[in-house]
Amino acid sequence: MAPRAAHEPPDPSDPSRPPAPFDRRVLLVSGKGGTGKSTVAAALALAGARTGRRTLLVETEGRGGMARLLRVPALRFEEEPTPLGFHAMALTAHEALIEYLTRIMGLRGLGGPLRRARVTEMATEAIPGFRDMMIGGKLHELTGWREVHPDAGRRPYDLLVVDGPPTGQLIQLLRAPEAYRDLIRVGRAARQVVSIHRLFTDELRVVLVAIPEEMSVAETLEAVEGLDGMGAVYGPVLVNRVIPPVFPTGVGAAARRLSPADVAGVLGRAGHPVPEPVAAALLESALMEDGRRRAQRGRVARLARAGPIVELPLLATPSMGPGELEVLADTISAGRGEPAGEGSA
Amino acid sequence: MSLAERLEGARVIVVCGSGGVGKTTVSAAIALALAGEGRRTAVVAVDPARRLATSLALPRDPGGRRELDLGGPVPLTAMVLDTKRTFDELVERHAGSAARRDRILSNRFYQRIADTLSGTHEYMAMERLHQLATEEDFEVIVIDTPPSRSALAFLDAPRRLTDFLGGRFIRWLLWPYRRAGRAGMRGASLGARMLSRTIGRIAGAELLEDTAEFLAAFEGMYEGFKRRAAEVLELLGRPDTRFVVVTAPEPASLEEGEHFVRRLRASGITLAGAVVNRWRRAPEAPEDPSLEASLAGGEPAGRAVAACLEVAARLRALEGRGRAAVEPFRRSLPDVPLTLVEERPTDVHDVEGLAGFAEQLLRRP
Repeated sequence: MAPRAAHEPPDPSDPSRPPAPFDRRVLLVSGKGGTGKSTVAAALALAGARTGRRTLLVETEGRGGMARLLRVPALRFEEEPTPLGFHAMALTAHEALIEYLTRIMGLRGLGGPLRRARVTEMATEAIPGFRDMMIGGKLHELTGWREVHPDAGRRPYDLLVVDGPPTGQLIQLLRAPEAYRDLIRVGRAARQVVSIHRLFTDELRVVLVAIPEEMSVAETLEAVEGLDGMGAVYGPVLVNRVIPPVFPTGVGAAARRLSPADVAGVLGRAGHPVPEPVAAALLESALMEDGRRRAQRGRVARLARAGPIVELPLLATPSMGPGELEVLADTISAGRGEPAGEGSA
Repeated sequence: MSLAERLEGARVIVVCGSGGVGKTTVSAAIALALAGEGRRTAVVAVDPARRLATSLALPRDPGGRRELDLGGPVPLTAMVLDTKRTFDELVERHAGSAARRDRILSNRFYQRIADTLSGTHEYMAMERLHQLATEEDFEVIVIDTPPSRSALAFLDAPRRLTDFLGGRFIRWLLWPYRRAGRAGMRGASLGARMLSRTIGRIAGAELLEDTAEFLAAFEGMYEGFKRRAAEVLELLGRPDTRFVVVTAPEPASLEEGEHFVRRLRASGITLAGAVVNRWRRAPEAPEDPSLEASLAGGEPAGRAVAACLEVAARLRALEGRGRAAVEPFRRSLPDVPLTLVEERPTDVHDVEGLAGFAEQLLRRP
């Protein structure tokens, strides 16, 4: 891909415009707790970096999980390169406010006293939407050329992948710039609010992470409704932890007809005799896994009816790390999963 | 010792853990089992999944309350937390006068923070618990905790809220915004004025004025509020209040669980134990890749058995991942009992499912 001047927003009529989700510069990843949102955000950053984009992965609800996943030291408020070809940082509203006040508003001497007084922490927590605006402001700063920073002249990022808020707080974050635009009408802060608003409406795409479980599906469909309601750009829904097919085509029926004695017989003839209770447990666990998968297929189909999805497999590996991210990034790049709604044979 | 035994004699059971680990299911299952033993039980759910709520006939709206007849000797009282209403009640209780109450309840800043100030949900869950424990006649109260960035926010929330509402610094900061005190701006230090103006410019002066007015109205009830917060913390620390920490078999979740346990212990709270939910267990099976390969090319029954072996291998890997995640927790907290609850083939969403879940959760070894 020919490098585009990174500080210009992509032109939607451009025929060389990349396919979703990489047609937008900010990918805001959101999902219910326990869906593997951070893992998926990291895989998305990896897939983006592979397309040649200068990519930054931004952790916003950090508890240190991201650093372990990437196998790097704890993330900080500064962008740092990772061995996976993208940069990463931890963004807190509190740090963003201090940076804003000290560097951008020029209150240089205040950094230390502010931190000690905890006033910034309170401001970001207590004032509705303030936290969201600080995060939005920093994201905006990261997509532009840096002017007043010690490393002035830093190239903007082509792609920000934001490990964002849980689905319940997503709409609130997206609405914050609009609310503030109405509140603050003049001056420098007003211009900044307009820029954040523009970033959110013109350059941001929401990527929802779901798992094929009842609660997650219901919450995802609710979020989709909310996003539709506000005209936000979103999709695809990344469906994580999908159980791969248990029985190859045509074998499922045979498996369901097997008795524990049959299983013991097959294993015995193959030179691995097992007691019948062991054979029974082996058979039962496979049938249960198949049952889980079938239940999942119905839920995946419900998600697919609401819009494009990409299925990410449940990886049976000893731990989650860069190797697993590679597999997930491959799947995201391929941009599809199994045909939705197909049950195992 | 089973979790059931460790919960014996409890008057209050608090279920905590990070989001998405199944806290609501654990709370509902414990409450169901207790009601099944004939104990007058209340369960307070926070944001229950719709399907669980529907099939248990839980109240649909926050603040709702319902007596569930589950065929046992006594009904189970189920409630869904309403943060805003609980906060309103708290204001009504401590306002002292109708004028002050109305001034606070109609303040725009209050209306906003009652839902958004971090820690408010957590604190109001505990406030609700205190109301139930002191004003109603339940033998046991089971309470779920809100999903939040820091799952122990309810421990810090009373201090946070009182700090915030009584904080001298924020008053100093907001002072220029108090409508009555406008003239006093001259008296403020240069730093305060500058900072105040800057924050005002970013946040909107109107917001800060509302905040200042709210704090002025709140002043008179601050002491009562603080006393109440101390009572809530006292209730959490009683020996017949027991905490259950719920985790999932992933390193991040168990690390967080470990952190919770330490914090709870440091706060003098009695821990009943930790639960590892969604545990995957692998069946015993021959581990021989050549066996699978030879069966996979043969007749359907052989291919089906090959598929069974493959599932077993996958489950071994997942069980191994779970064990690796649990191992550091066991090592650093050897005295904390861990209950493993296996993932079920389908979501727990009805009374029958909950009963099965409760059996694993509370079973005797």
